[in-house]
Amino acid sequence: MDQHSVQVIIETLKEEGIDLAVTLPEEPTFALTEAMREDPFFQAVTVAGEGNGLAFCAGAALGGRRVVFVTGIAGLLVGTWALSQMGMVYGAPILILASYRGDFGDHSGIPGSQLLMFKQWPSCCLGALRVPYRVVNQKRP
Amino acid sequence: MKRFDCLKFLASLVDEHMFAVTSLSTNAPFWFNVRPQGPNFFALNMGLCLPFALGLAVAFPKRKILAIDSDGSLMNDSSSLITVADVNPGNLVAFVMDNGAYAFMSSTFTTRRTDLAKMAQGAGIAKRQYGQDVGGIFRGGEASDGKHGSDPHCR
Repeated sequence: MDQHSVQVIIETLKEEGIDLAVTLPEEPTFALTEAMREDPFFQAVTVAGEGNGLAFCAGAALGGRRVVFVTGIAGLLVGTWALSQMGMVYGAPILILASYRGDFGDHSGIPGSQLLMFKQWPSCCLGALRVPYRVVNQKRP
Repeated sequence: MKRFDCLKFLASLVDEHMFAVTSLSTNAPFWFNVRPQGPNFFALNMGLCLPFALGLAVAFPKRKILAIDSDGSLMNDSSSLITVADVNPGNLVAFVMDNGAYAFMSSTFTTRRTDLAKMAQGAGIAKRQYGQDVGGIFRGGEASDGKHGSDPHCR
C-alpha cells in the first residue's frame, strides 16, 4: 500500500472518529497498520487470530468504541465463523478493511489457484453472511 | 464443586455495574438463573466468549468485565489467550469452567494431557489460579498487576 493511500485512509478514519485499530499483520496492509500504531490518535491492538480479533472488535463496538479491523482476504476467510456470529447474530458495527487479492496485476507471488479462490469467495460468502461490502479498486483522483 | 453452586456464589460477588459474558454452554442458563438482570451477554458461541469480553474491557476501562467461559469453547480458539495477555486489561476477570466434557458427550482434552492454566501461563497471562476457591479467584482478579485469568475446576 502506497503512502498516499495510507494517508487517505487514516484521515478518513479520524474524520469518522474511528480510533481503535485492530489487526493481525499482513504484508499488503502493513504500512497502514504501522502508521496507525505510530499515530497517538489510535489505540492499536494486535490480535493472535482473526476469529478472536473480530470478537474483540464486536465487544468493543457494542461497548461504544468505533473500531476498524485491518486484515487480509485470507485472514477474513479464517475469521468467517466469528464474522457470522458478530455480524448476523449481534449486528456489531465493525468496519473491516481487507486487502483485495487475485485481480489483474496482482504480482504478490501467491500461486494462481490461491489467488483465484481469494478473488472468488468474498462476494458469495459475505453476501451469504449479509455483510455489506464494497470493493475499492480505484484511487481517489 | 457443582457448576451451579459455583456460579451462584460468583453472582453474589458481582455488583450491578459489572458486565458478564458467558459462553454457549451450561454457563448461559445457569448464569441467567443466578443473575437474570444487569449487564449480561449470554451464550457467545464457540471460541468467542473471552475475546468478546476483552473488547468490552477495552470499551469500559473503569468497569469490571467478567468472562465465564468453558473448556471446550476456549480450546476452540486458544489463541485468544495470547491476545488477552498482550492487551493486558486490568479490569477483566476470566473464569473457565473446566468440566472436562463436551456437554453430555465425550471428554475434552483437559481430561488427558491439556492444561489450560499452563496454556494461559505460556500465553503470558501472569495471574492465573486453579481450584475451587471461587471467592479467592474473584478477589485475586482485582489485583493491580493487570494480568488475570482463572480456572475453577467445576463440574
